[in-house]
Amino acid sequence: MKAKTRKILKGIGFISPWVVGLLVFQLFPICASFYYSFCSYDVLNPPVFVGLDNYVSLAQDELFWHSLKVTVIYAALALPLSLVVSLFIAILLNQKIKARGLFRTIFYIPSLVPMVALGILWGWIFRGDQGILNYLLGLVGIDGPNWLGSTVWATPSIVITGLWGVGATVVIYLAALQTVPAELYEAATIDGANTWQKIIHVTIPSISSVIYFNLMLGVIGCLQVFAVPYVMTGGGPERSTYYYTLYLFDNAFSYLRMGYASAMAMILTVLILILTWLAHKFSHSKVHYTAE
Amino acid sequence: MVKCIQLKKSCCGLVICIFAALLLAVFSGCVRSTKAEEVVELDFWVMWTGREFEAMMEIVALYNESQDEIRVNALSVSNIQRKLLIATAGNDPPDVAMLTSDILPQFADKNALLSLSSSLEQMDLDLEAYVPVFIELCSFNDELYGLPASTVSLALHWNKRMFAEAGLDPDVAPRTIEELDLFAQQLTRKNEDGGYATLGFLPTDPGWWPFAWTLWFDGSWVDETGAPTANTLENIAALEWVRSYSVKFGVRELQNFSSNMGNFSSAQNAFFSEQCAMTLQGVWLSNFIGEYTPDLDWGAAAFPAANDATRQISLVQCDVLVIPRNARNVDAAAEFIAYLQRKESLDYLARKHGKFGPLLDKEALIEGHPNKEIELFIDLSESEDVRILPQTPIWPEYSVEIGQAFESVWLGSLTATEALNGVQKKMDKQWKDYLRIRDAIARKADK
Repeated sequence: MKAKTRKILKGIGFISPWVVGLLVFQLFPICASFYYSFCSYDVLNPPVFVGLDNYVSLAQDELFWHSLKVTVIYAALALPLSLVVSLFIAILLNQKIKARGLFRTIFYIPSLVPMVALGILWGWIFRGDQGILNYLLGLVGIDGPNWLGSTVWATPSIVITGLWGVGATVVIYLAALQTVPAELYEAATIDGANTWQKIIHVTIPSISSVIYFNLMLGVIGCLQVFAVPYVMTGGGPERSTYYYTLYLFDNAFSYLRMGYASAMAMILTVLILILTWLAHKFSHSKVHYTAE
Repeated sequence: MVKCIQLKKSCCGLVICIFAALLLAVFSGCVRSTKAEEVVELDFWVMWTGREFEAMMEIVALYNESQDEIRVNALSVSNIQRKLLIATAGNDPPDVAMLTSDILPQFADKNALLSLSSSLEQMDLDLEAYVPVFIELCSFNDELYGLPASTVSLALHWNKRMFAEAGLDPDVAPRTIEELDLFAQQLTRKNEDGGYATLGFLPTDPGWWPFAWTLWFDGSWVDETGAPTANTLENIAALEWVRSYSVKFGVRELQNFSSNMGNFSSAQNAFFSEQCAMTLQGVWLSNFIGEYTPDLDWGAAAFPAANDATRQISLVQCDVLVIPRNARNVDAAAEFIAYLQRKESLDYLARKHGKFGPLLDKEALIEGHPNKEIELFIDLSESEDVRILPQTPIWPEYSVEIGQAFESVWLGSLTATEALNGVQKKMDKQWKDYLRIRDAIARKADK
């Protein structure tokens, strides 16, 4: 065997666990889900091919459109807020202050809390009259709403809960902020720029590729939000937090309509692809890559 | 140089070993041991936890000691229906499992359970010995798919001390819906801040059976063919009655009251902590009262029917022992279920759970039973007005839709008619889809 062939075989050998994992646990399920989306499939019996029936039914399913609508509303609230809050925290944590490492740790720790624990914890915080949030609001004379029992406030409550997990995004921003050349800030200072102008004209353009990356991850994460609303509200009240993945999950595992759920999964995949493509198309000229 | 080659070789060896171990780990779950063993190992998934599971474990231990051919390994499994679904689909189910009776039709319809109809003789069981409604709950399309392990009926529980404090006779429960509403009003007290200190009755507590209220209004969710009948006048009347409470006492105020209630299984339970004077609950409640508030002075009675004070209407359900499709040891599983169906086993479980059993002969069970109201619950289960949930495979989705309608009506977003018309429309479509797909599967099977 030639040395080159041996080298290639070795390389394949080394990456084969990952390749097998990808094929068996990701690619095969995706392909199977694509096929099942054209079938009536209840998991317990062999699938029956029904063509486009599932997609036609979805188009006529009011709950499908409702779940999509509330998911988009959630994403419209959660995504900008999490991007801005995490960038703001990252900029603060990038300042040269005492005990900076401690502050960074403190802000990162909440993102390590498992989603289910997070949901239960914030469920208590948002609890009607006895919740700590309404207690604190009461101290300043505000009669807080019944957060999780109100169709208006349930989604904002879940958005606020989600902000607890921005620690990971903050770390990515922090890493990016440290790559911004100091001379750019020096030049801006000489030109008389204030802090806000430096952020707008130096910091943000310099880390735009990272903002774009977080935006994409955020879009995907928001459209797939599941654990926190599942634990906190179960989709209620009156399905105001019945997000897309909750309906998908119910179809698959409660109503045994795996074919229907697969069609929903395929639509979600296509939706994410389209949003990613749109984001890429419209932000391409505005994203600055340091290596370019 | 030699060392470097040796290092490379050992690295390659290590990678191959890890890869082989990974493959072995992945595929070992797919292959069943074919090794012939003298003792049959029986996997038994139990849906209970805590003291209920402990009682079952004691019976399992007795069974394991009573013979040396079968060894039962009981496991407490949460969210059992989902896990059983995956395990059955993955061709690796337990030998015996438990399901709630409302889920059984869905599993039976999907061919996920073995019929026990033909095994009854081998199991030496006589169905005539059972209360008929429990056999009905274990059956689907005239086939028996399981046998009851634990049975329940629901009744109104009331707090005698709170009744006396409100000037009501502590030994007399409301006999009509009108009386219930009147008592509820009398038992309700407000705090200085305007919130409720105590409530007489709250239809959303505990919120487990939003579909049940209609049963006391002579309503039904399906017709004889299993087709949905959500928007009947009786069902609408039941939801309008539910709505009358949130109108009378205020949605926001009741939401605040509810959000301050503790978990069911805690001393902060609204009934245990005397926040709520009356509640619809199952036979198990006495067990929890004994655990959390043994001094509570309570009574139980049939929940009042809307149209006739003399009727004893109750919803009954049971936890069912089933043998999943593709179970490895079907004969041993049937033998073990037969052991669990012996009067001694069922009575032992019933006493430990504070419940009653599915068998007709209950004389011995009543004597010294820990639940002081056990006779009432037995009477309710054997009453001619006993009710069960619809035996339809679309019930999981149907019940969710009813729950949504209940919530919308409770919050005042929709009227009872609007909400139930919505349920009817949605479930009509699901029912037609179900029939169409069932026929398609049958045609495919015929081919």
